[in-house]
Amino acid sequence: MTLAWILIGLLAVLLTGIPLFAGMSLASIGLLLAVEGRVAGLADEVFAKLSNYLLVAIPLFAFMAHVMIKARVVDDLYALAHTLVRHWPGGLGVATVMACTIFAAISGSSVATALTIGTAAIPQMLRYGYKPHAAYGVLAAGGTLGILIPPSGPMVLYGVVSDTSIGALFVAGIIPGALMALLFSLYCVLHSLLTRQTERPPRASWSEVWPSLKRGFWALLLPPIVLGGMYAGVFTATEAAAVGAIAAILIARFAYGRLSLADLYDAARDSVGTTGMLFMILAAAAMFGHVISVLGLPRQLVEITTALGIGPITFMLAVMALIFLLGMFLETISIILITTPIVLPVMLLLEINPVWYGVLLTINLELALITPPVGMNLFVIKGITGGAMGPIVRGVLPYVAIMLATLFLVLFFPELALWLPSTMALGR
Amino acid sequence: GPLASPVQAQEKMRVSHQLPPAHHIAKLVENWAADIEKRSGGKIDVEVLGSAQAFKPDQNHPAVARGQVEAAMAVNFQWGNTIPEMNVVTIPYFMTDLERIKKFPGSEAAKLLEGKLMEKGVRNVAWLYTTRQSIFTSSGKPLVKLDDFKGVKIRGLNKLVDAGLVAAGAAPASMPGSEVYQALQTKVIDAGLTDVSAAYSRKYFEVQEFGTVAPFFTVYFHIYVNPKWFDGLSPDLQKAVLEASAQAEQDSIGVTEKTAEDSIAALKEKGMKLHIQSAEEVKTFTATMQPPVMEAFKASSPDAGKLIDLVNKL
Amino acid sequence: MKSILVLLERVVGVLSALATALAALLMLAITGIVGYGVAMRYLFNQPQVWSDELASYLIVLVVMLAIAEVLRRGEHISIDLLVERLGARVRYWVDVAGMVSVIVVAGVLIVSGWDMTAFSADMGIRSTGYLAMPMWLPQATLPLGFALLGLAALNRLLRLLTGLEAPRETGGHKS
Ligand code: NA
Ligand code: NA
Repeated sequence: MTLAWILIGLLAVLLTGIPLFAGMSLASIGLLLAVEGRVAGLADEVFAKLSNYLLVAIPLFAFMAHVMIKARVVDDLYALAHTLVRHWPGGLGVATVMACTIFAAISGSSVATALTIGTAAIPQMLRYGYKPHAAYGVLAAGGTLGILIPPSGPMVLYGVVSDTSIGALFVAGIIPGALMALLFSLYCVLHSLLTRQTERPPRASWSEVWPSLKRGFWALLLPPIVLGGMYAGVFTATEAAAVGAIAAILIARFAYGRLSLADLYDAARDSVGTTGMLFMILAAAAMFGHVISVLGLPRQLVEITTALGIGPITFMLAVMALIFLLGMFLETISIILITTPIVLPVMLLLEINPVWYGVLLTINLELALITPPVGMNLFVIKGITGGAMGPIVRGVLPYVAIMLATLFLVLFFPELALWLPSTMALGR
Repeated sequence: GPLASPVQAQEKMRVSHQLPPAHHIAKLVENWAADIEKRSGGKIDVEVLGSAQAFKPDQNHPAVARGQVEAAMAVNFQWGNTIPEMNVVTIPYFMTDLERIKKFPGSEAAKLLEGKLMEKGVRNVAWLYTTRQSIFTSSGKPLVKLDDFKGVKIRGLNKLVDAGLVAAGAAPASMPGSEVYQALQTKVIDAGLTDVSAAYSRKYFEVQEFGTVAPFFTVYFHIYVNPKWFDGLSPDLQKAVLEASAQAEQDSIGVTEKTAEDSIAALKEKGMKLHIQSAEEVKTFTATMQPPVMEAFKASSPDAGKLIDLVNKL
Repeated sequence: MKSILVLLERVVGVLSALATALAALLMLAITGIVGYGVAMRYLFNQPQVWSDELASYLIVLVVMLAIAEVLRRGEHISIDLLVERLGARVRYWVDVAGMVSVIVVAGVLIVSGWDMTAFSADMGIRSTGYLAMPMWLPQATLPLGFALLGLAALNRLLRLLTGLEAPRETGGHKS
């Protein structure tokens, strides 16, 4: 009950529209004053949270993505996907999902994925008669793949908080991510067939496909380098981020000839800005998480679970429902940092696989990005189009259903997430 | 926790630590907490905040010294570079003798370390012996002879102990604990070094074929309190804390020995091929691995040499 | 009064731009450091035990150098879906309230950060890692970064109150 009131209070503060990190920090400071009568040790909390080597992966992956954006490979990627499938029923939607999937394998952020692909894809889709709400929906949802398909900022964060291997989490996200991309594409095709509304561009000739394949090739090389190197044991997840960034620089400079020193500096500066913004939310959520544990909420949850004799599946369903509700109002970093410490002791108690949980959490966070009223990807599309929220929300609803379906699939078939990481020992 | 007692608790004692509830020392701390409540007749209410839920390991020291919590439990490694003398227990093959471990609490050696802790603003109350059975894990080939370590990328322990590994020709690498399993599985590194119960709880047996059990280093978790808070307790309550702590120190020896035995049996049962170092091998390894570490330890602080003498007297 | 505000704006602008430039260079350095660590371990069998610890302190420095400029660009995330439906007047006051809260939070963290840094310096606390880093050094970046952030927020607050600057249309949603 305490938790419910605290969360409602927090939401009220955040909905005023003051910067999110400041609102959450203020709430934490206020609660700590109320509970302990002083605010000692808050900076220690922030420093301990931020100075974690594993978190270095987040800015490094952001840097890698910014380098690729500066080298303008996103247009190439979308053009490639577009020439391959544009003549299919719903082909433009499928192309958008494909481009999102590929960019998701470069970027650790869903917002960045929706933003970069959206800028390229939305005008195209509208030009070929895609209904606006359908175009917005596929983009907002496709963009969320950014955090399920590795690399993934939220997975890094969850791995840090729960002491779970980030490499294992990354690899575990591949199959559910691919499955979700497939379902999204399938929906685009079916929707187009059923409504018969979109006008289809002609099939691309080989002379059109070949150059766009050549242009996209080098960018397509990046995900195998990052994931393959991790899978093969050349480097760890954090190191993969640095190697990926270096590879991105080399590809952008020497394969595309598109990265000047000024571009490189701009990419670094952009990633620094992203990092500052994200890590301030991280710092604030760390303070908030500290207050929650000072209040003893994690222990209460363990006691309730034990007293009621709750089993793993019931518990997981309850937690997923809670996170879905929180996801309507909060953004991903706060959700991870607030819920994980509360849930973790019970997970240990019930022997729930932390990698499996991490994948389910990530899918739920994807939902958070597109469920109204507060969904970062909804805001991104709104930012790109400058339009109203109504059609965007209408457009994402089918995808909410698809993502919920994927969530339940992974919930009842854990192998979807756990099989691939288990094969990482093949070298033995 | 609340004790079924008519007496109103006068003092709240919150204890922060990083161990998960299943760890044998975490269980010991729960008993210790209950014992304090019992011995104080319910006047002290002990609340154990485990799993680093209240403070990260790095934060425990400032939190206790400032009085944000009354007590915390830390592992000796935590003080590594701040109180270099604390590394004495990790010197290879030096404090791994059970007789030494039994004599350590209350000894002159322990008092020297407690003095150092006091200088850092915390009062030590209990030394909980945690392990003396290390394990070198590997795949492909076991690490039995010193030669087997040549060129092996192994997860190091700290700067000091790594000097011993380097002396054997190994290449120590650093890596966050949560990534070690995956790194061993994918062969980012070749070998692991940990204590036997962690090798089991972290499931190293799933990704490592071989293990060499060696009395390589010792680990202590120790409980410390805020000195001002402790001095403010009435004498009978102080006595309750100290007596419960002394009891926990005694209990830790049996519990830890039993846990190590069980872990070794469990690792075998999981199919890990274990080699237990013979007395002869211990001698060979000591001769190679201990001197460089001992030398570096003695150079690390003015009191280090004196501490070595004190431990040698145990 | 106006000239003081103009001066303040210039000082804050230069400071946060310089800080961001330094942070961008550090970002390149971190990439190089971590990459070097991989190369030395994988190609030369010589693991570098210092690189991960150094990278983790540098990233705190990067964040602390960056946050003031992020504020100046209005790129800190805020949930403005209620505010944008209300008029310019409400937006103005929300912006003012936002800056006041940033100043309060920065103030608390400057004091608390100073405490932390002073404690580490007094007690001679060093990191547990291979660098044996005197902890006050990376910790001192916290009060510094929040001082810069607080200054940037104060500058914007004063400009809002004196009408030198208008409230933003919407908050940033960039990532
Ligand atoms: Na991704
Ligand atoms: Na949402």
